[in-house]
Amino acid sequence: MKVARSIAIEAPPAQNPSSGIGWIGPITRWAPLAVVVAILVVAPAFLSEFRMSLLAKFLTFAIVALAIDLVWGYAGMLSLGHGVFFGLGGYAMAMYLKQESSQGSLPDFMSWSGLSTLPVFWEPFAHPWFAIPMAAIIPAALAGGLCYLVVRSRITGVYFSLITQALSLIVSILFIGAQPFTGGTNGITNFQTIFGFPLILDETRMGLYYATIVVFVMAYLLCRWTVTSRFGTLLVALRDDENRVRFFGYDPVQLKVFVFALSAGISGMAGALFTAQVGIISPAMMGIVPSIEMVVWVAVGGRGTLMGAVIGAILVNSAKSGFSEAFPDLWQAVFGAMLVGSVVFLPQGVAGAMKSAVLLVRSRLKQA
Amino acid sequence: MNQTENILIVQDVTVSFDGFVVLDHLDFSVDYGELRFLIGPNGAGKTTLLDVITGKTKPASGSIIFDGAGEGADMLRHPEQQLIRHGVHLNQRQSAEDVATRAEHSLVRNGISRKFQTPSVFPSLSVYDNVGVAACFRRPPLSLYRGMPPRETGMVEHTLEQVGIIDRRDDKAGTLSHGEKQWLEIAMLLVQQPQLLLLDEPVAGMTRRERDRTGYLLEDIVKDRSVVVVEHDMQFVRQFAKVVTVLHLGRVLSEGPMELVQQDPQVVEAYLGHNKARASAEPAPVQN
Amino acid sequence: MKASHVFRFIAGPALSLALVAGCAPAAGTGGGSGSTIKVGVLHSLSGTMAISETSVRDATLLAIEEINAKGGVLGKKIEPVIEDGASDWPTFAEKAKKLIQKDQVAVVFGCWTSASRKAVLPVFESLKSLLFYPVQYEGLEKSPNIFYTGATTNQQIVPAVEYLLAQGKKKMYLLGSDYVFPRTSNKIIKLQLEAQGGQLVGEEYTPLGHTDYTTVVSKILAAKPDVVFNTLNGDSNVAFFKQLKSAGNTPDKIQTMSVSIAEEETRGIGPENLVGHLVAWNYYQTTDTPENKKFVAAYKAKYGQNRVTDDPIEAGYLGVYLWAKAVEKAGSTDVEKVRAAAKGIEFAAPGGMVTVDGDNQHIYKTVRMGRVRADGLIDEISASPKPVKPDPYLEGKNYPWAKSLKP
Repeated sequence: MKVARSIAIEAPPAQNPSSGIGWIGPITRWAPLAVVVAILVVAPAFLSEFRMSLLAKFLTFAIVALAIDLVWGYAGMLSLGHGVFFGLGGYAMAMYLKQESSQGSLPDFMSWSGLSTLPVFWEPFAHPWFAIPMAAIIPAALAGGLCYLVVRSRITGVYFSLITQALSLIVSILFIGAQPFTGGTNGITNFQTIFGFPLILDETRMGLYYATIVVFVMAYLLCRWTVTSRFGTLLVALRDDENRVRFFGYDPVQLKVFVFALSAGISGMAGALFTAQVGIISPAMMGIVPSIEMVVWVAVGGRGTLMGAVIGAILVNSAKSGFSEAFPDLWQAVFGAMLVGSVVFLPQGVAGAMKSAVLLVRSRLKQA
Repeated sequence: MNQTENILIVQDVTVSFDGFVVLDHLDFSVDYGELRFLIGPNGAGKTTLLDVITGKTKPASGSIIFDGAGEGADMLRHPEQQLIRHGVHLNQRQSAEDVATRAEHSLVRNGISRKFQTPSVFPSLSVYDNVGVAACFRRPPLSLYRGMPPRETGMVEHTLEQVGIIDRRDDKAGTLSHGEKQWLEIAMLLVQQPQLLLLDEPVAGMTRRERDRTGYLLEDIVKDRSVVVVEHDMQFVRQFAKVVTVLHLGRVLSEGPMELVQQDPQVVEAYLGHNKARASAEPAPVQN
Repeated sequence: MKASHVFRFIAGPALSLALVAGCAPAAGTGGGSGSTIKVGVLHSLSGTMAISETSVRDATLLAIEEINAKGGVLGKKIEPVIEDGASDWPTFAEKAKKLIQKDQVAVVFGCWTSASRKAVLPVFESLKSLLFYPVQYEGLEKSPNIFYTGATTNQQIVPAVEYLLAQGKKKMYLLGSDYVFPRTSNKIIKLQLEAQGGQLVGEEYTPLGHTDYTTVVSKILAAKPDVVFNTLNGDSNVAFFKQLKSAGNTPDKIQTMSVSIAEEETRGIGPENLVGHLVAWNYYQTTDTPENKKFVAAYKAKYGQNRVTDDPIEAGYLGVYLWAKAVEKAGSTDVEKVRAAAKGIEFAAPGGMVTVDGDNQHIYKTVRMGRVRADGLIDEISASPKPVKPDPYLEGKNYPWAKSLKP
């Protein structure tokens, strides 16, 4: 019986200058992120308080966009359920904030919904060091579990998307129905303090904003590490031809469950930051429409490039806020036209369009 | 039949789809280090046979015993255990649960690799990354966050050279020609060092020069493993085949050296009688 | 390649941040300065709530126009800044913040759903601004930064139940959409029934937007109540009343009492499905006051003869007048001064005389029971002899049974 000879012994050592295509020098590699962070850090000096609160909110959306791009742009799983993961993170945070704000008494919505004692599952969320990790763990666990069941049955493509869409419908209905525990359609709002600091203070808001920048950078680095590593190559392979990957001896279920749970966990953290800064989380954030909007951000920005997703989230939401302020009666038509236009004229998204514009200019320059 | 000489034994396998019998109590075996060609008219069951071997299709009855050494030398010391692991428990349809719970990817880990009829590579990855994905299949996926281990890196370089596409290593696989894609896919399978390599129409759509190069490649790689090739291109088969198995209506019609098989009247009848279009499109096996 | 990378990564974020900043033109001129006073109007102009809320916005703008025609307040014209809450609660919070911080409005008129009010409440409280909220709601709230110009529970639901019990309709079936208002209202009704000798024969909640009521209708028919107390919202009413009618029910068999169906809604549901059924509000288009004749005429003249007025529209309209009177009395738009001045302010509203209760910033309102007519308008069949004092927590001596509501 033969044993395959170990080719590695005879093969040349792994050093080839041209290996690793996307490799660029360390300076150019980190410059983009540094520029973004620099802009974000100095932004408070130039923006009004209200614009700052918008930017902070958009930044949490940018984190979700990164998470969606990871599963959609790289692993090819179009999720229409990320609103749920975002919302669950938001609720975990809200459960902490509400308890801190209620100062030991029963949260207001519970007493008017007929509860007389705090539900047991609420109790541990009084501690931020429990609630904040849970904001990532709960969505990750739900996403992992759902993904396992769905992918194991070889459900892919549109059918996968539909199931995630059903998830957002079901979870938002459940949260509306469980009013004594979740605040129903109103959601959970009216928070006073975080870690004992009053939320109305500018210092607290700035602290939260910078915390959001830190989480954003961490999420970006994590996603970037994922997609540039060999694991990311494997995800792209999965997107290109799942069957081929399976017949190479990988278990697509494992891969998908991991990356989907990771993405959901990141979204949950974004939701926690959203809730702390916007001051409300409600089932409306988990429904079908916001989940689709999140995918639209990535589509507009450019699926498959992380910065594209970030740009898309900030651009689309800026436009949404701007248009609705400028034309309160007509803004939805204008906004809709912009989205349709960007999908029609920029099929690769803003990032893709900018890339081809640069290539065009460079080739012109060469010819000249 | 001496089992120790066979890497693969297919025993009495029957597959039917909606009552239509595709494989009919089929017996088939492959020796170590053998290059075996599988031919037969359309609908003979060639691709289904590969499906059954790779676990894509579950047989209604029968067993498939694979005696590779894909998981290391300790297997060699326990051939019986090996038979139980790979043969009975993996593929034999004795209990539905066993077969149903055994996923394709785990069969690949045991040393069977397969190339599908249409070239399936990952178009948006580079040639190098394509082979890299295939090479790391024994590593825990999360360990790939740390990059490709040196052993696999070496294997990828070596395989790209062996198959002769090293100069295209940085190009996206989607930009390759049809023939190059076929080679890339063969490279991706080779880098996994399978004990048994199953190739479904590897030279379809190739030019004559590409075909020849593929043939020499097959002769090279069969030194380290057994290879089963399903092929319609009779010229190619004649040129490179030593032993040919002819399938027809889910059964083995004839088996042996190409010259003998070509003269088997049953084979002639199968090709001429049931598939005139095909026979006329290709040189008939009897005419030399 | 390198150049394109750098450009792509740097230019992109820079561009989008510039856009955020670009949405911020020069800072607002301030609510109290200059020749105008800015006020915010914050309603859903898009999304599921738009159909109801745009009418309230229209009424608010009508009141502003009328006040301006008479010279404005403090000698200045009122300048409305309109924002769309888009039927989305976090958007309401965002736009409230924008109106207060960027436009520096003196006051905001707006919101419809309790959810949107709950979402903006912390914004108004933390930024120390003022909201006039125009819709009847479930009570149990009194924010110092909100004036509630719609009914609280003791001005609508509680008297409606009392009316039904007095009519001998003791067996009640509670049907509502699954959200805060119906659940809270029904909690109050159940306490009241128990205390006042009524009988609960069924309670059912359906999701918002639910449209299949065949099961619910057969449950109701089987339970044989005297009356269905209906807190369904929006489209669900269309389906429910059609299916109830086609099951052979008429108001003389099982009566219904609705607290979310006003003149705007009867047209959508179809008056033929509703005729003879009961509703409870503080105002109807048919309310017979001189102020109402003028109001209905002005509203129709501005927005079209086919438009109707109803309770929330009137509450949106009167809120602007109450605020303007308080500002005149305070001599300033300063929130604290306006709040202090608003105490006890009276206004002859289309629905009758209203008075601001300084303790809870709700208003005294006349309670009116109504019956739907064949043309979709509503006839008053009973009214409280005088405006009822608002009691959002039902703490008054009239409501001893409501003790358990107090947190």
